[in-house]
Amino acid sequence: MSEGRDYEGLFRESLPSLWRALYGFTGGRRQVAEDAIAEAFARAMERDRSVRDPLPYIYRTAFRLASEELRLDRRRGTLQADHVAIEAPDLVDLIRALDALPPKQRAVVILHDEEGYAAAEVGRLLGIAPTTARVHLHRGRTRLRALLGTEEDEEHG
Amino acid sequence: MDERVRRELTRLRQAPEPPVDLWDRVREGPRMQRPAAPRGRRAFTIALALAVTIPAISLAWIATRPLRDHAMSTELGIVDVPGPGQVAAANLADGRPVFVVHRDDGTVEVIDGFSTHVPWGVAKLVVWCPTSRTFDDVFHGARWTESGAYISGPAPTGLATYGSTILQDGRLQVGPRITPASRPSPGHEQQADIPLCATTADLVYPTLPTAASGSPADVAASAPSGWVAVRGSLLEGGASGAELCALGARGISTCVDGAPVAGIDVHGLFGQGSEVVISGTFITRVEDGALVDLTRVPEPQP
Repeated sequence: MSEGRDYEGLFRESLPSLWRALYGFTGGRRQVAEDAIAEAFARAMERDRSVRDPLPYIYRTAFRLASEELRLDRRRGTLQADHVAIEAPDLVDLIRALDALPPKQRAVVILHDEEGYAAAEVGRLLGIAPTTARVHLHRGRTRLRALLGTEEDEEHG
Repeated sequence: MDERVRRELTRLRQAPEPPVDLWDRVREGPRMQRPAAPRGRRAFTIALALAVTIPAISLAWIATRPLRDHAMSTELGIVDVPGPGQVAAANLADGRPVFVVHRDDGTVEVIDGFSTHVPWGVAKLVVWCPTSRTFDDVFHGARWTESGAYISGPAPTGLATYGSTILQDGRLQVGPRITPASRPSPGHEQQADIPLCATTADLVYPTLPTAASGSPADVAASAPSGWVAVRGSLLEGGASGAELCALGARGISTCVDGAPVAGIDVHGLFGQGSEVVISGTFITRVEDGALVDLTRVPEPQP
């Protein structure tokens, strides 16, 4: 546990944004999002001295852990998102569309378009180059637009 | 243009709140298990690693085999293996006589050709008797089994043996030398029922490192490396006290083309009153102009 850095303050300050990002990223799988965030903070605190900038480290770690967990769940056949319909009915379409995106695109679109980070900042949080972040952003938006648009057309069609 | 996406994404703000005790979880756990690879994939990874490394190591092993064979052969030698049930005489790389025993059960053993009974410093080679399946010292009667174990006679130990490896071409790579076991203490011999040798015609004699040509003086002067065969008469005299002369000498006064012999117990061998001359074929090595390890060679009776 670090004496120098105020991890609890950082946690309180960053949690709302981090939580939304992970909730969206995991397709509303709360347990995966909670596990990933708690573990990412715990690891940052453990490796305090070797972590230069905690917040990007926490984002990167949380996204990676969540990504691995989803992949394992998918392979185990235990990946389910039905609870979203009960928990947050308005989110069902969005979650389903986000789920169809590759993980990197999903993370970039959420951080940029919802959480308001600039492309360079997104790159820093995810450990990728800003140009790469822009490419993921462009592709992710295009894909998401198509997915959401089609569903809307179906609704009104 | 991306308003539609942004507007949709703002719905994430309606996401349920995170658990209130998440910070406690950060501080106190439980921690996430590091995801282990599923068993099937781990098994596949191990299988793949083995499938790659085993052939690679095998290929390297096979490719370097000639080098290793050569390294071993420069040490003791490579010999032919006789048919099952047979015993054949052979020579190591330095000419040293040995016997290769190929048993009916397929096992193969290399037995040293030298009797361990060396009276007054004169060594002797042994012969193989196929009827009794024994190695016999025809000069003084000591006997050993086909594995070189002591049976009877004046020898202090069994015959020396050699470790060996069968090569791909069926030949035998010999080495290292194994020191023989001492003979059992009196009363503890267990080989009493082994019959005496019942043949002279079928004895297997040791093979000589070279044909015995040239006088002892020629052999000493040529200073060959390893073992060399020579015919002559061993008698008392000369600088070292023992001299191997050209065959036919009756005493030092009639010695021609002689060479000094080192390592002989002169008083023991010659100090028996009458003039002792040992004539026949010997094998020997040459050191500093003298013959050393002089060894009598049994020869078929004419």
